[in-house]
Amino acid sequence: MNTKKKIILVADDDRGILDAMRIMLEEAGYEARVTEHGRAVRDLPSGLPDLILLDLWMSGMNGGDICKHLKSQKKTKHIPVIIFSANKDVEEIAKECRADDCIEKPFDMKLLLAKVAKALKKPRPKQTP
Amino acid sequence: MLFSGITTLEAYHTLLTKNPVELDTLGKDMLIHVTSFFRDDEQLHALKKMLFPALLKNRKKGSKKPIKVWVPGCATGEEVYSLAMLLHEFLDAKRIPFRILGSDISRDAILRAREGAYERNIEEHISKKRLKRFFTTSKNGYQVKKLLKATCTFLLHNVTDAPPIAQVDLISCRNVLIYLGPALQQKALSKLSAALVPRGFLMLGKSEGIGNSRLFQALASQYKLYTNVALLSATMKPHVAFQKRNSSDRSTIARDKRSTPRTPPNRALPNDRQKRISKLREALLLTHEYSDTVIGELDVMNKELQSSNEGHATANEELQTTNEELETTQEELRASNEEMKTLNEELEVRNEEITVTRDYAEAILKTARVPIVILGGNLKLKSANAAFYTTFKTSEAETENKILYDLGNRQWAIPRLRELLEKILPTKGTMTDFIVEHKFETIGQKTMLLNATTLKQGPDTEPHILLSIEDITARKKAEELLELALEHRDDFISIASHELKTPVTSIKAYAQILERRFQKAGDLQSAELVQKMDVQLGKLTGLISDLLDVTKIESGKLQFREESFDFKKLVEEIVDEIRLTTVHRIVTTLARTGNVFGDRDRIGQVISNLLTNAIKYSPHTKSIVVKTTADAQKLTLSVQDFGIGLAHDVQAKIFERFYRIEGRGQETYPGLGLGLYIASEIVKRQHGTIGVKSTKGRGSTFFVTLPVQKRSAPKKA
Repeated sequence: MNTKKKIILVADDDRGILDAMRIMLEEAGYEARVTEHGRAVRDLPSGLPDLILLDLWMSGMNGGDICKHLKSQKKTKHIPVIIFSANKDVEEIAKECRADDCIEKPFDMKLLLAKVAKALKKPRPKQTP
Repeated sequence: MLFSGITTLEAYHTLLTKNPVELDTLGKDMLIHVTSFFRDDEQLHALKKMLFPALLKNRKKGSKKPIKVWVPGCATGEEVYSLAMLLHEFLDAKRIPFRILGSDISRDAILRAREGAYERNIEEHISKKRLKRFFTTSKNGYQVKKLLKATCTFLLHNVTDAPPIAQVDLISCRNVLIYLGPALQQKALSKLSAALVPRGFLMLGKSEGIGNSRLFQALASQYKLYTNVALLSATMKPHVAFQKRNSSDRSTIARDKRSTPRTPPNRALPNDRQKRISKLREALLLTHEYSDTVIGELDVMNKELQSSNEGHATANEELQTTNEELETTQEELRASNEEMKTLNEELEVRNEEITVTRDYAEAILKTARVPIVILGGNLKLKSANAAFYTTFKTSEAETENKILYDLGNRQWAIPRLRELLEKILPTKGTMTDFIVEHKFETIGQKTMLLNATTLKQGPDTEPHILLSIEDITARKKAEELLELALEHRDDFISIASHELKTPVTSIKAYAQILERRFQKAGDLQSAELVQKMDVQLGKLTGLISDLLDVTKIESGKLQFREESFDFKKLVEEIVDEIRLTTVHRIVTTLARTGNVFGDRDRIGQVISNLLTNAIKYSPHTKSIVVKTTADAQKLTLSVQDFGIGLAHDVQAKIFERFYRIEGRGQETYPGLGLGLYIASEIVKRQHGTIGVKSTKGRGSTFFVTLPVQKRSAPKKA
C-alpha cells in the first residue's frame, strides 16, 4: 500500500469482540487499536486515530457521553465516530450524541467495513499539524 | 236558472219537473228569510214598554197559565229567541211562565230554528250580557242555551191555514203580510184574530198594516201594535156579538127558522108562551153560537195538541240522542274497565317480579363473602351481612342502629370516608373503589376497598346507602409483588438479551472472518459451512430480538421512529433479501402504493416476519405470492403460501403471544411463538390492521393494511 494505513480505534468492554474486530479490520487493511476502557477513548493518550468505533455500553463510562465529549472538543471533533450497540435504538442514540454513523450488534462484517470506508471518505476540515 | 245554465223558461220548467233538488233550491230562494236578532229595535222597545205591562194587566191575578206568544213566519228563529229573551228579562223575576210558538212554511227554517245554532256575527245584534246569559259559545259561533230553548217551540205551518194554537196573548207577525196579496192578507188576519185571546195583541212589520180589516184596532199605529176587536166584542159584550152575528148571518137564522114548526106569527098564542118560545129560540141560537165557538176552540186546541206533539217528537229525538250518548259512555266505561283489569294483572306480575328480585337481592347479600352494610339516614347501620360480622369480629347487637363512625371504637371515623359519604355520595349516587388503609382495632392494619351506592327509599325518606367493604390487603400485596416481579423480568430479559448478543457478535465476526479466509484460500466447501453457521447465528439473533421486543411491548417501551418512506421499495428490498436465503420462488405483484409515514425498520420487520412464516409453514410447496394494492386511504400487502394452512379455530389465536403452530403428525415448527404477536402489535401501533384467510391443508394468506400518507407535498413532479 502506498499510503499510510488508517488508524481505527475500537472500544468495547468485551475482549472477544475486540479480538474479532481487530482481525477483521487488519485483514481489511487498517491499523486497528483496541481498548476496553472508556477513558482511553476520551483522552486519546496515544495520539488521534482516523476513526473511532465505539460501543455504547463501556465499563465505567457511557459510550454516548464519550462521543458527545469528543464532538465538543476542537481537537477531536473532526474524527468520525461510529457507534455500535446491541441496543435496537442505537440509531436514535447516535443522532443524539452527534456520532457520524451507527451499526447494530451483531453486525454483518461487510456492512461494517462499508460504513467504515464511507466515514473515512467524508471530507473534513484540514488540521494544522 | 242562470246557475243551472238555462236561458229559456220552458227548459227551466223541464228541469224543475225532473230535478227535485233544483225545485227545492228555487223554493228556498223564493222564501225570503231576512231576519236577525232584535230586528227593529224601536218597535221592540215599544213592545216592551207598552204591551208587556198590558199583557200582565189582562192576566187574572194568581193565574199559573203561561203567557202565550205566537210568531208566524218565524224563519230561522231569531225573532222567537229575541222575544224569548225579552220575556225572560221581563217575566222571570215575576215568576210568570211563558211559551212562544214559532211557525214557518219552510221546513229547513224550522229545523234550523229548532237547532238554535248561530254564527259568530250575531254579536252585532245581541248584547254581551244577553250572549252570556242565553248562549254558549260553540266551534262556529253560538248555541242557544236550554233555558231559552225550553220556552220556544217551532212548527211547520202556513199562516193562512187554521191557527195552530189558541188563546194566544200576543202575536208577532212581522214582515209576513207584505208577501201576501190583499185577499190572502185578510184571510191571514182573520186566522190571527181567531188565535188571540180577547184583548190579545198583534204586532205587524213596520211596512205592514191591517188594511180595512175590522178585526183589529190600532193601539200605537206608529209601532204597528194592534189589539183584536172581534173577539173582544164577542166575549166582552156577548149580546152585541150575538146581535151582530144574528144580523150578519141571516141565512143561518133563516135555516133555523125553517127547521122550526111553522106557526103563523099572528096566531094568538098565549103571551107568556110566545115569550118563552122567543126566549127558547134565543137560548138555542146562543147555544148554537156557543157550540160554534167551542168547535172552533176545539179545532184550535187540536192544532195546539199537534204542535205539542211536534214538541214531543223533538223531545223524543233529544232523548234518543241522550240515550245514544249514554250507550257510548257505557261502552267507554266497559273499555276503561278492561284496561283497569289489564293494568291490575300487570301490577300483579310486577309485584311477583319485585318479590323475586327482593329475595334474589337478599340471597346475594347473605351469601356474598364481601362485607356489606346498609346505612340509613344519619349513617346509622340498618343491617349488615354475615361477612361483615365475621371480618370485623363484631355482632348484630353491637352494631345495629349505631352510627357508622361510632362502630368499633370509632375506627371508621376516617376523614376522607366521611367526606365521600356525606358530600360526594349524595350528589353522585355512587362511590367506586375508594381505598382505605387503616389500622383497625380488632383486625390490625388493612387495606380496604370501599364501594357504595345510594338506594332510593321513596319520595319522603332519606336514601339508604349500600356500602361494601372488601379486604384487599392480600391482593394489594400480591399486586405489588407481581409488579415488582414483572419489572425484574423485564430488566432480566433486557440484560440477558444484551449479554447474549455480545458473544453472538464475536462468533458472527469470527465466522465471517473465517468465511473470507476460506474463500481466499479457495476452500469453498468450508466457506459454505461457515456461511451456514452465519445463517443460524442470524436466527439466534432474531430470537433474542423477539424476546426483547415482547418485553418492550408489554412494558410499553416499544419505540417508533416515524418517517416517510416508499412502501413498494421496502417490500422489494425485503423480498430480495429473503430470496437469497430460500429455495422458495417468491412471485410479486406490486402496485405503486405511495409513501407510508411510519417506522420503516419495524414495518420491514413485519413484512420479513410474514415472508419467513410463509416459507416456514409451506415445507412441501415451493411458491409464495406477494401482492400489494392501494387506494386513496390505505394500502394492503398480502403474503400467500400454499402450505399447511390453519384450522378455523386457530386463525384467531395465531396473533396471541407464545402461540405456536403444530404441524401434521410429528412435525414441529421451531420458534418462540412471538413473531406474529410482535407483528400485530407493530401494525396496531402504526394504525393498521392485520389478518389471515386460510384453509387447513391448502395454505394461508396474511394481510396487512396501513394508512397511506396524504400527498400534500409530492416528491415527484
